[in-house]
Formats: sequence, C-alpha cells, structure tokens
Amino acid sequence: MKPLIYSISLFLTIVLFLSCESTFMEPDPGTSNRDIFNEYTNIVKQKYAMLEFKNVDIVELQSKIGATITENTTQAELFNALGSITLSLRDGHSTIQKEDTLIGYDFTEGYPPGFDIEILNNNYIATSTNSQMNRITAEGDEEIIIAVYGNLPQDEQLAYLRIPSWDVIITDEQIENIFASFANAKGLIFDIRQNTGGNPVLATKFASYLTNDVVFIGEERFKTGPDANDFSNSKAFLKPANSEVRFTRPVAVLTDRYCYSASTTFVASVNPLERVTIIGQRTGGGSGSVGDGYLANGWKWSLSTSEFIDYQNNNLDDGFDPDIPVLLDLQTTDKDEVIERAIMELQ
Amino acid sequence: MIKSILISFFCCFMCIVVTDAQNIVGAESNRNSFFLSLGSTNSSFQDVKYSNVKYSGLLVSFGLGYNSNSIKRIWELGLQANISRETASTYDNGKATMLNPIIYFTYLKPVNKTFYVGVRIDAVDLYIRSIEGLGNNGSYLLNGSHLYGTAMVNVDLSKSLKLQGTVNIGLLSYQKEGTSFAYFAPQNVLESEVFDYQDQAITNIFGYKYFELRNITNNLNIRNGIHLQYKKMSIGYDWSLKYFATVKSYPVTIGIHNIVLRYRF
Repeated sequence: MKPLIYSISLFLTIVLFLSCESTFMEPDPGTSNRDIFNEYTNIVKQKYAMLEFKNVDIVELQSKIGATITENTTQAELFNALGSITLSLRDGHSTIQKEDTLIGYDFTEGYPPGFDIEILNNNYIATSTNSQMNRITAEGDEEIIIAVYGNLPQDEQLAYLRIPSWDVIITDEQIENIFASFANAKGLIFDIRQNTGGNPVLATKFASYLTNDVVFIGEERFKTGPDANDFSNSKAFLKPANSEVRFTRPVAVLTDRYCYSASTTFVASVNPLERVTIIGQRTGGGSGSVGDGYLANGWKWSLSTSEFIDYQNNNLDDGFDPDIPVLLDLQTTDKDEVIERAIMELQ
Repeated sequence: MIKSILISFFCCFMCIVVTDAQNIVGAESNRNSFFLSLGSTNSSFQDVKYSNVKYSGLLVSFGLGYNSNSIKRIWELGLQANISRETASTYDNGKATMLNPIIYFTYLKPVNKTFYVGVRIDAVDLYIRSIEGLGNNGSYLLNGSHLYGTAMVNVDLSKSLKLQGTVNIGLLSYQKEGTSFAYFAPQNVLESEVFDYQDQAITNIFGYKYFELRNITNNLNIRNGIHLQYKKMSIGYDWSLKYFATVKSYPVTIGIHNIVLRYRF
C-alpha cells in the first residue's frame, strides 16, 4: 500500500508543478499609447539616476505630456512625446529608438571643433612626418586604429599616445609594450580627443598605468531600486597597474568636447593625480553608466543609471573643464595648438 | 570559500560513489550504462527589473552521461545543454538566444522497491541569454551551483516498460546574477559601497567573489520529470523552474521544458 501512496503523491506533485511558471510571471504589459507612455516615463522615473542634477521634474512631465496622449495619438506623435522626455534629460547616453529613428541629446552642439585629424597627421604622427610613431590596428582591419604611440619630432624626449576609442580590443601585452616604450620619456602627451567612449574597464586600465598609489577618485551612485532615494554610494578608487612600466612622470591629457562616457571615466580617474594636467576643451561628459532595454512595443530605450561625483564633489555628466583651456585654430594648419600647449607644459 | 566547500563536497561525494560503483559494476554490470539524449527545449523568461514582457521560444536540448542502477542505489552523472531562440510576447524585434549547460550529479537510495530519496547537485548551471539590439543589457547571465532534495518513483509497468517520476526541490543555491536593478553588474556589487572597474570579478561570469548563498526561502528552484523507459530507449518530459529576486519585488522567472529521447548503451 505504501509504495502506491508514495507513487500517487509523487506523480500528483509532478503534475501540480508541470508548466506552472506562467503563474509566477507578471501579466504582459499593455501596448496602448497610454500604456507605452506610462511604461517609458516610469522607467525614466525609476532608473534614470540624475533627475535631480538635471533638474527634471518627471512627475510634472508625466502629467503635462501625458495629458496629450490618447488612443488617437499617432505612433509618430507618441514617439516624439517620449523623445521630448528623453531630450529633457540633456544626456547623450539617454536615447529612445524606433526602428532606424533615434532621438537623443547632441552634447557637442554649440562647441567649436577641438581636433583636426589632418593637422595631427601632417604635423605630428603620420609615418611620412614621423617615422618613430607606432600603430596598433584592429586584427583583420588595418583601417581601424587602436593606438598610436611614439616620440614627437618637436621634442624627442616627449612621448605621445593617442587612443581614439575605448571600444576596442587591445591585449595586456600590447599595453605593456606601449608603456615600456616610454621608459626614457620625460613626459607623456595622452591624446583622447574624439574618443567618444566604449569600455570603462579599458579606460581605467590605461589610467592605472599612471599611478603608483591607490587614489580615491570619487563616488559612482548607481540606482539600486525604484524609489527616488534608492542609490548606492559606491566609492571608486584608481589602483596602480600590476606592472613594472608604469609611467609616473608628468602627463598632459588632451581633451575635446567629443571625449565622452568612458573618456570621462578616464579623465575622472587621472585628474586627482598631481602630475596630470588636462589640456584642451571641456569634455562631453556622459559620466553615468548605461542601462538599456525594450518597451512593450519594441522601442528601445537607454538611460544613464548612475551618476559620478568626482573627488572634488563635481557631477561630471555635463562635462569636465580642463586645467588649461585651449582652442584649436583651424586656420593655422601647420600646428595643433592643443599639442603645442602640452609640449610647452611638459618642457 | 563557500564555492570551494561545495566543490570539495561534490568531489568527495563523487569519489565515494565511483568507488561504490566499481563494486556494483562487477556484480550488476547490466545496470550501468552510458547514455545520450536528444530532444526539444521550450524556454520562457521574465525579468521584472527590466520589463514585464515575457520571452519564450523553442529549440533543442542534448545530453550525455553515465547512469548506475542497483538495488542499493541509483546514481547518475551527466551533462545537459538546453538551447532556445526566444521571442518577446509583445514585439518582434529584440529576439534572444538562450544557452543553458548543466553538469549534474544525482544520488538516490531506495526507501522501498519503488520509492527513492536522495540528492541532486548541479555543479555547474550556467544560464546565458543574448538579446539582439541591446548594448550593456544585451546579455543576461546567471551562474550557480545548486543542491536539491530528490524523490523518485520507479514503477515497473511490465517486464520491459518502466515509468519513472522525479521531483527535485532546490535547498541551497550558490549563484550570481550578472544584472542589477539598472545596470550590468550584480546587485550585491552595487550595494557593497565600493565599485571598482578594475575588479574583473564583476564582469567575469565565474567571478566567485560576488556569488551569494540563497536557500529555498528566497530562491525557488524546482526540477521535475517523468520518463517512460522501454528497453534501452526512454522518452521523457522534464521541467525546471527558477524564481528569485535580487531586488525586492522585481523577480526573475525562468522556465525550461524538455521533451527528450534517451538511449542507453
């Protein structure tokens, strides 16, 4: 009798549990115009980390713009309504995308160019100008430059390193080789102009070659829950690279308005170092970490879900002012004023 | 540390069982066999931290392993991989690919002729989803090891037809979810008051530093199955459920169904 009871009990248990995960799941969200509007504005309200810093009253926007959303609202009008909320954040990381159409804030608008590749190539780093300059290119595509490094013809005791993007793959060995080649340099010009970001881990790895000490660089405040005060207060430190070839002599970091996201992480990481001087243009900012997802109608959102407060208590999302502001003069094509100012500083 | 203890426990357990099994192989070699399995997987997923939209899809599962059956005990060591291609319930873009390899071990002792109890250990249970079109949240990672309490009924329907039903209830899990409330880093990392981009354990799926121990009260983990065996072939239906929340009120639900054909060599 007992085996039969065991058997019946077990099979009943199995039948009870079969396919029941749907009972644990929340119901699908609605996809009406109002549902989509509410879903997006709630995501902004709960996940966007800088409503206070950007002075955005999301509840008021929900109410004001929401009043115009009805079931007669066209998809284009609804998309523009969500886009207006996105633009109110003034944040290049925050976008709303419908198929091939994207609405996002242009953080470079109103800023003059701070970089010209022709001027740089013709006067400093092109192989024809400077045979000592080395290049690391992407595997399988030599057109994609990962790093340019070497000595400058204007002063061979000064090293130059250009990283055009942090969204690249570079090995630890390659990074070691770069810094090993700077062993005899009295100063380093670290050019990250036009570097719109990528992997903050890589940016921090390069920064770690510029210090011998653990340095407090600020706090990254991540959203950890839906309420307005649900933030982490995560202290951030720059730790020295585990390397013999760290560069601990004076460094000039060159910036322009296109320095964004992971480049701001890099600047925030090296700015506390006394030997480092930031030269050029105000950076683009974008100091928050980014989360993304889809709304219930398939439109894609991305938002800054953290804010970075540097060691001097500055929120860096709107940009970082250089120690020495320098504008590029596009009329004089025989020199890059930002590099020239850095050479002067390091000499 | 806890991971090391679990792995040590698993290894010791394996040594004892394999030693035991060698004795059984001599006496009852006809009841020890390698097996291969092939079937279909139907998976579903919902992470309320990001959306209430459910994902579900179908593809394939396969497995291999070694099974030992004796009067005194049943044990099985196996690898199973579930793969599926999921679609969101309310839109067509942003499809997801799910990969779920599991290395498991089951050990059961008979209570009587038909009823067995024991444990199952999922030494590795890796759940990876890749979502098209997304950036930082384009991957969802859940890596863990689990200890289950197991009950099995083995009924001989005829001389060559056997029905087997199994219930595994997760008792302990040691796991790491790669995504937090709003960012691609574990929630416990963000709540630890220090965030270090140079800390590779944050993004490394095997970064044990941020694994956490969860139990049946905060991590529902169930695996059930019914298998009908005819001589060397069996057909079975397995179902697993994971339901947990690293952020309060924002649960993750994962369901995986398999219909599998198994052949014992």
